[in-house]
Amino acid sequence: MSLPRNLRVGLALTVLVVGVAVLAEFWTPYPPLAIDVLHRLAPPSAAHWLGTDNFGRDVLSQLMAGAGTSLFVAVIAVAVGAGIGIPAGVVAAVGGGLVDTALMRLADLTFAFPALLTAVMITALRGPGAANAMLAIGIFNIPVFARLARGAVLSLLRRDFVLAARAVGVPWRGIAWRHLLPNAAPILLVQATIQFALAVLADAALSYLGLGAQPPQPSWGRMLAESQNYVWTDPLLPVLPGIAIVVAVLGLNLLGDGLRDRLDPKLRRGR
Amino acid sequence: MRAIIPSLAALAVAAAIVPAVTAPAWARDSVSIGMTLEPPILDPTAGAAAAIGEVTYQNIFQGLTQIDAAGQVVASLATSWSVSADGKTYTFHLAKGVVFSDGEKFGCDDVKFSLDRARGKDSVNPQKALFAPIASVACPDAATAVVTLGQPTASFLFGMAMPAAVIVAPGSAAGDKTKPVGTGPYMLGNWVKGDHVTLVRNPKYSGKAPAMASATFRFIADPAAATAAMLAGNLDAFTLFPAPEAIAQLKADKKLRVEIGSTSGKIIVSLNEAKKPFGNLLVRRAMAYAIDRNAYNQAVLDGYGTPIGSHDVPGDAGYVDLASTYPYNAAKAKQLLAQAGYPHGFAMTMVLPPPAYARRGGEVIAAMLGQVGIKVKLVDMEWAQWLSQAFTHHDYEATIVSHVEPRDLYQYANPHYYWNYHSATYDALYKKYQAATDPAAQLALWGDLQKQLAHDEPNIFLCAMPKIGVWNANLRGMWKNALITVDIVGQMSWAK
Repeated sequence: MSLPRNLRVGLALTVLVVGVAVLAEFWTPYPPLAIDVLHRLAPPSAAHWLGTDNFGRDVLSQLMAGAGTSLFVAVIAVAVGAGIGIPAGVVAAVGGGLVDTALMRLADLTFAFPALLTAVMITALRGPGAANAMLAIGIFNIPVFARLARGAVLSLLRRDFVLAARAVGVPWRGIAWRHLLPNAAPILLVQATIQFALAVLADAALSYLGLGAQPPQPSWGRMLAESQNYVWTDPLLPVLPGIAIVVAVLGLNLLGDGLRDRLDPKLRRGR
Repeated sequence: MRAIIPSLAALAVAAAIVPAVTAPAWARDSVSIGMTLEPPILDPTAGAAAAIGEVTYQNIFQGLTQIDAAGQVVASLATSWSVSADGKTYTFHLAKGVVFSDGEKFGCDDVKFSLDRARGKDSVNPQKALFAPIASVACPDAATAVVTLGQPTASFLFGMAMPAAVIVAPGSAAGDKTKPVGTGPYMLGNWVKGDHVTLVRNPKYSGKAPAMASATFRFIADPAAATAAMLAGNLDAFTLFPAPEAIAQLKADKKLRVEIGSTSGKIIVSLNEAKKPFGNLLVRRAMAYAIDRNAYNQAVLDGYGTPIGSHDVPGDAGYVDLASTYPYNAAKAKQLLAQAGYPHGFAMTMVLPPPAYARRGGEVIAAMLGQVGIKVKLVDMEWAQWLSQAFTHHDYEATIVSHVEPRDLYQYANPHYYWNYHSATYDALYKKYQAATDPAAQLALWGDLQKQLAHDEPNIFLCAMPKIGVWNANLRGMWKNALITVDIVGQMSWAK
């Protein structure tokens, strides 16, 4: 069975980024923070494959370490969003009535704030740092998952197998675990992949603004911010972290698209 | 129809004439100046931030004397003065017809008030030491001020030219922090916190009205944003430009002029000796050996700075080059750390104010200290928070900051200063320096003070701050060098 092309490319890029991030935990060509002022702003060479930055740090090592920072922030942020959002959505759908209204209006409220503004607000209140960036990105992920889970569960509730389970007296908790979540899982998984891509982008944006991972922790967004004054003299410096962000986000988006194509029953039928 | 044609003709004539007549009104008479830090208040006699002086000095407030572009002491509110033979009595002849911007007349009583306030017990003046030599201030008449010193002090007139020694009025001094009232050619227009301060001409100014009707000081700490603002023409001038890496790019722009000069700024890693382990001389020396000043200069200042080894800058009279007191030597640093009882180093926190020399410098310094086992946590701080927490309340372990006041060795004899350095040897030496009357002996003692600091290494002395000035090529009146950081708007004008 051959996989669709977007799924293949997405999977390859994602595996590459994750692989690099894992590898960086154990090995980078140079310690990412080691400065070497004598060789600052060096062009790519055999010694420094992607050159060095304004402090003489190895750009490749920093990009590798930055992948870990970005993915870690994104994983936690999506976990926070899904961990709170999905149960809230299921409760809203199953509970109905006032519970539903209250939870969904709360989600609308959170949605009404532009995502990045929410993040900036949270980091302004709690101070900059990777942990607060995770929290901030996680919070604006909550309503996304809550709404999606609610919608999916609402349609499942009218399906025969759920009605049958209810008729024989399976408790709600059992129905939720055994019938609702497994059937809603594909659509949630697809959304999680896309939210993951957005989280990587949001992390880069926050770091670029100085609100994400703090120096000296390597981060793509900060590399971008710090190198922008070198755009005329050493254009590779700002371009490389940009490419890293594009590869990671593109890979995850393609992966999400591909997964949806495979998992969404409606689309499958249409083919 | 006939009536229309003449009126059209009149219109055409008017159209031709009007621009010619009103052209002077259209010529630019305002300037916008970039600064990295925002002044927390606008009263240079009540706050240590150099940004206060940069906005207000000679613009809003004037002193008895002033520093000119060449770094010399020249007349200001005192048009002339004489010094008694024993060097203890200064008789200042004050400018006549001067009024404060609120209409109050300026006279000797304002001088007496300002000096007594600055040296008083409750004084919050950031440079109290400048006023310590004063024994009394007398006013024989409104236009004469007689200042008697306890002992001859060669640097007295220089001290009176500092931003902290400007003359304020008894009626308005209390409100100067937010509503500054001075004798200068400008007064506060408006102040949008976090964004800009605008100065406008002071209609009551007694001298010749300055060319610029207004000046706006904008606060931009980020090097990339500062570069973009200069290139886009959003700013006309940046006196202490924060992005040395962009100099080549700015120089290539014909609309801009770039001048590299000198300042009195000493970039140092301040250590709080009241916190462990920075009270330990061995630890401080180990840190001094662990830090490569040349590397800092290259990486952070693009090589435009000059490595220093004590609290003084090259070019200052009596400067002693001590930059090689602790040459970069990681092995030696480790050895000293082991000797001090920290064979595996230690963990410390370094707070970083917004300027690039601190934020970028922090990463470089942290990496260098990391090489010898000192784990540095970097914490970025906004300027107001830094001033309050680190500078005022001494709640910090280490920081990076540029001390811009010229010849400010007196701060090491100040036991309450934020680095908590106490040395009986230094204090005695400083007393001796103050009391010295012979210029040669004074210079020698000035050198000894620097050597004592290099020996004690209360702070890690990094580099003399270069003055990277960038301004519109048509703007006149900017200073190449800056003994004190100022933007004298009254001297600025646009080329015709």
